[in-house]
Amino acid sequence: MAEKSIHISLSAEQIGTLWGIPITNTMLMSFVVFFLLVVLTFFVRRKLALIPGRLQTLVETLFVGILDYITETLGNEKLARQLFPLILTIFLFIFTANIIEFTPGIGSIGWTNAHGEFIPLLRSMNTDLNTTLALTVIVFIVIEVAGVATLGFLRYGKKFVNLSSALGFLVGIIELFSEVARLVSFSVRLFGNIFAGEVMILVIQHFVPIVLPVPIMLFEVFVGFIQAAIFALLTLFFVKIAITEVH
Amino acid sequence: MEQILDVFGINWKLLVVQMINFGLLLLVLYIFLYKPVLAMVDVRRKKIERAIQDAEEADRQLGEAEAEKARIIREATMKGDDIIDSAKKHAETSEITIMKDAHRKAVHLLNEAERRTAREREEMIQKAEREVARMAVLSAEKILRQGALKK
Repeated sequence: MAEKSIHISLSAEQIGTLWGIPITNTMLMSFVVFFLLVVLTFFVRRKLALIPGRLQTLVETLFVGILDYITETLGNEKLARQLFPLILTIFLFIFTANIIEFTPGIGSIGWTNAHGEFIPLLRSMNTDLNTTLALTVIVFIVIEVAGVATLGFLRYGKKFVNLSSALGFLVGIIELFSEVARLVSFSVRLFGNIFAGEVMILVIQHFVPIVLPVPIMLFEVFVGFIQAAIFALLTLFFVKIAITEVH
Repeated sequence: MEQILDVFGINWKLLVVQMINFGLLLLVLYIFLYKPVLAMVDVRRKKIERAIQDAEEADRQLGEAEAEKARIIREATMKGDDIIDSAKKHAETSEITIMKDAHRKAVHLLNEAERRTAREREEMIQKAEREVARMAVLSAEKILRQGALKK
């Protein structure tokens, strides 16, 4: 038993192929998250009334609070209304995936393949860089589009290509680099945090299988919430920076 | 670079699938969750706003009605006072007239009575005089008849 080492794979395991597209366990997990959120939507939607019930009151309070915060941050109600679905969906998608990552069965139900490697059927969604990178690409595009749509192409471009002075030009280049670096920082931050949590739990489980993993799991759920909030909030803040004119 | 992508299992097909998945989720949540919930909040907010406006309007109208009521009562009181005053004046004048009339009537009646009394007294005197004359004549006759008999 002790000889059996911990198997850790940075990439998600492939569990099948459909129409030439590889199906990974994290992809399956993202469908599960999708399904859960649709179920939640169904429950909220079913009892939607002018005189709200408990669930509706909770959902409305959260939505209005978040919308107010976004409006306050951006200082533009129209843009806030447009951005609200994206930011909230990012949060809900990541958060739901993170809080269900320790559900029994996820990561433990699976099979051993021909090479003797264990292939779990489901794997925590954000422990795959594909997922986080996909979200990051969407966010990146939204930030650039928001900037161009608000300031106009030329004024937005001025942030990166500034020919007024040598220093301005240099700052523009640095801005351009930091803009692109976001693609990496966004995706790797989320991936790294969640992946590290999973690995830590695996290691602790390997040595102390009972009791000790529980507080760590609790902490990881907290980290999952924080990371979801950070991803959503950073999206908001970078949009704010993008729509703010350069001085 | 290739190696890094390989280690992390980055695959453009997976990326596209995840982006479509997220996009679809965004669409579904937007249409079936965010839009109806926010619309509901907006509808309620409008309703509450209207209710508050209505309440303010009702308050204002109530105030106006109160003022109107006070005004009407004041006017009515004033009018009533006027009517009472004029009635009093009218009564006074008619009292005087009535008294004068009564006085005049009384004087008239008194005069009448005096006149009638005087006339009656005169008639009585005349009657009495006539009676006395007749008595005198009768007694004279009697005396004369007795005288004749004695003869």
